[in-house]
Amino acid sequence: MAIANAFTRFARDDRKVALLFLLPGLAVLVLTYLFPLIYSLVLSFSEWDIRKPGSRFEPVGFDNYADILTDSDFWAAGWRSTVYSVVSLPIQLVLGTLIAVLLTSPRVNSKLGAFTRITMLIPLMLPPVVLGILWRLILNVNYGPANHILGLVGFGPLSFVSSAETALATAIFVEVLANTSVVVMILIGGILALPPDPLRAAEVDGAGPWRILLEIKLPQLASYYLIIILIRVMDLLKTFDFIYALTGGGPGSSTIVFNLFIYREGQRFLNYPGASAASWVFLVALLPLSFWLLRKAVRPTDTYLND
Amino acid sequence: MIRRYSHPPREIVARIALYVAVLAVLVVVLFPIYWLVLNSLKYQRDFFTNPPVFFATQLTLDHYRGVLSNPLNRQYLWNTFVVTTVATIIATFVGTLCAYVLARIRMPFRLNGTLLVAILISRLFPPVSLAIPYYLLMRNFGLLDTRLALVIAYVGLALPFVTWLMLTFFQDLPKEIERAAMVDGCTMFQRFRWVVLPMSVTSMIVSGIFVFMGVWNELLFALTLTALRAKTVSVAISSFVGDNALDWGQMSALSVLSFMPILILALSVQRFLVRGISFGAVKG
Amino acid sequence: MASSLRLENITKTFGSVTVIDDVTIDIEPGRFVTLVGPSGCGKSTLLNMTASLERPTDGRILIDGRDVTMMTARQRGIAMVFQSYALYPHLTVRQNLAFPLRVQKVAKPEITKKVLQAADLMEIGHLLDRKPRELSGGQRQRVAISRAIIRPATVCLLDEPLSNLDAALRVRVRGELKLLFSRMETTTMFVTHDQSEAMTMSDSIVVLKDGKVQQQGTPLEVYRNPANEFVATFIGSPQMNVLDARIERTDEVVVHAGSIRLPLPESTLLPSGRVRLGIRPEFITAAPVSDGTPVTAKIELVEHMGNSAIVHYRFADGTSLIGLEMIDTQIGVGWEGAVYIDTQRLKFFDTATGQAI
Repeated sequence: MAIANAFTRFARDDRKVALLFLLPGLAVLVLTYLFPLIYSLVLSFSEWDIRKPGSRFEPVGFDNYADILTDSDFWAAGWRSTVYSVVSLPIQLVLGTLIAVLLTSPRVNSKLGAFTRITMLIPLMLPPVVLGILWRLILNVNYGPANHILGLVGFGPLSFVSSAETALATAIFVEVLANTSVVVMILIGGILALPPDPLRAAEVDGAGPWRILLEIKLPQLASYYLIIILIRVMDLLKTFDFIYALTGGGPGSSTIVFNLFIYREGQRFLNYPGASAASWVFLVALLPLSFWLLRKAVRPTDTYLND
Repeated sequence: MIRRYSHPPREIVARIALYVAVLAVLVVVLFPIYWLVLNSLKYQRDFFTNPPVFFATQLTLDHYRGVLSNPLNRQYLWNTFVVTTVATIIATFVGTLCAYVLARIRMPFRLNGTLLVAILISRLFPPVSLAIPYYLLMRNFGLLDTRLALVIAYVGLALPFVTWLMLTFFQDLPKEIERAAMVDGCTMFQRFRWVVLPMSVTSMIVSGIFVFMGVWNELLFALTLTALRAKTVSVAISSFVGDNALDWGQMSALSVLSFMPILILALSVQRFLVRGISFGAVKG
Repeated sequence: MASSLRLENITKTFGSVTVIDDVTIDIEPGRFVTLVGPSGCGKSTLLNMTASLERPTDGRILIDGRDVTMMTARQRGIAMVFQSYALYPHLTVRQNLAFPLRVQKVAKPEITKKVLQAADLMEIGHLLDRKPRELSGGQRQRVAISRAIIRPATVCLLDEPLSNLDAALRVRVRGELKLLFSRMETTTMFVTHDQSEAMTMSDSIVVLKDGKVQQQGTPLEVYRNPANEFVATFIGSPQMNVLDARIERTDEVVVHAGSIRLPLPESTLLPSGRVRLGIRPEFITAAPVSDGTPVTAKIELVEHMGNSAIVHYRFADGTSLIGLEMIDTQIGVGWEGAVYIDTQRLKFFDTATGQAI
């Protein structure tokens, strides 16, 4: 149709400017994602040694992947990440729900509730490195307050991060204390956003507070839980900073989670092709989860100004 | 009736239990911070004692003096500040421009949807899979241990987040105001500059603050890309782990110094923060 | 000054859905024309296309005979008042009014002068330094109208500007707007779903349904001679009664609808057979009138409006009709007796097509 042609001409002015607007973002995307990722993909299929000057990428097919996938350290690290995530998440969910319900309870003074809520932001603002350092101090076997307090109630002393048996459990413990706040914040947002009328209706119908909580409030928060789980799983699997500061991966290799493994493979053992291959395995493993999260969290625009 | 004014015993027990629980939460959250600050102010002799000193009667600023008198530490703080500020400003503007177009202007070849997915999937990438190519590429371009390298990495890290946050903001912004501007004769650029931008300031500041906090606290890229000249506070703190593992005072002091700006920033805008944390869960 | 506007064979489709189907509307210079129809009838789409906010799939838009289909709002010289008013939230009222002039690079002193003029005209002079969020709904609406009339416009478009006002204010503003626009002599296109606004404000109304023009004419023409059953029931409140009926031609012509049996004048050209019979409520009354035909009915419900009353009648076969008493009636529920129907004012529609016969 003639009109369609003319329309393109009409809309062109807006689109030219729009393209200008997009250019910087596109440049950043290409520079910091596309190009590095392609580079690492190529590297993961190549043989290359950073220590040999003038060394070039030699294609070796799937050799690096074969090496990595037969490396027991790779699987051990993957297993640790899985344990770390699978144990932390349910504890955070339960604890987070309890605290969120507690802080929004009508029986708790609303000012105290609000104050506690703001206070709970602090662990989230804390640099992960500082978080790691901090808990090293608290959990120090000989001089830390944790063992002292345990001693007062007749326990311990525990070895915490200084022994391979307890280090991962300790990391999980700290993770729970630090990041349960995320769950609490999101759930409080959800609870406060609940429409009040069904709650009043339930009250008028004679439901007690527990019934209202379990049968009216929590079911309405299902979508919040879904998002929390997705976000938390992604973040738990990606954990790096705070474990690096808390234990540095040790003692031995007892807390080398997956991302720490990749980092060490590259920066410590200079096995860059291997590290790239491992990171691609990780990336691909996360991909379905990523897409799912995307689908849940983003609605595309349906109508535009220049339609 | 009298019953209205006195609680039944069960109710009183329930209330006491709830307040004890709140108190427990507060203690668990606040004690570590207290301990950190206390450690940064304790005299050296109070560190390695058993039982530990919970309430020091004498405090000192020696550790802060020690940290700040070291020109390297001052440099790390300055590096962190410069890199974070520059990266935040760039990412916020670039992301806002992208988000506006993606939300408002239909581009040819289904560019809107494709680009949106591309940007957002980037947000979900594990940073570690980028750290290695970043290191090698920066090395090739001679950018290792420069602040520029960090700025580039951080703009990339933050762009998807800004775009995502601003996109939801623009999608919730009524289109009629921009339509009014179109009828009033504005071109796309005028519309953005005079109408959209002034309305977006708050959202841009919020996303900027998030980026600032994230970048300020970032460890992995800084660890990978810097050695000395461009080193940031995060890296400096983490290196206490290996080298000066026993200098608890200075370690705590530097930690407090790196945490303070973020805390002040966070508490000054706390009512916006919840939105960013629950971002993705609840829109707007 | 005023311009003519012509929408010519406009069609708009979204995918496979046709929202506007070959619509042609002519508006003479200086006229106030209302597009009215139920929601989803396409009236807003037509307005947006006139404003250049949407593009027609086919057809042309002409202002003063010039094809403006591919032009921007600025080139068309359109002014518009939005349903939500679309005031710029970050600007004061003064800056809001100045905005369209600033965009067109009008000189500063000229802007100041015009802002004061427009503010005076709409009596919002005391609000000039406030932000939109500090204004009431009615005040926002006045600002939005001021912003639209502050510059010379070829056509002024009003998108349901009254719908966000409360009922009392709406009726008052309705009158003011009509006065304002008749004084300004700007060509105006007004969109509403409220038939009473359409009736009271317009020089001419265009009734739309499902993207098609149902009827176009002055309010009274449309009211008195609706082109089809849809227009008949859409325009007028309370609604026209429409019921299935049959026309019988024996030695006299009568229309049957259940137990209602009404004689028609001999001169009627209607053929016998099934029709849809339309009776406006004001032509059904319990008060004996000379040219009415009495039918027995029972009053089921009376809605008193003070100056008038809506009366629900139930007839012997169960048919119910609504009547309008212009003077509030004393008769109440339970009353039974003769109801008079004015047979001169009956409307007939084709059973299949709904077109007026």
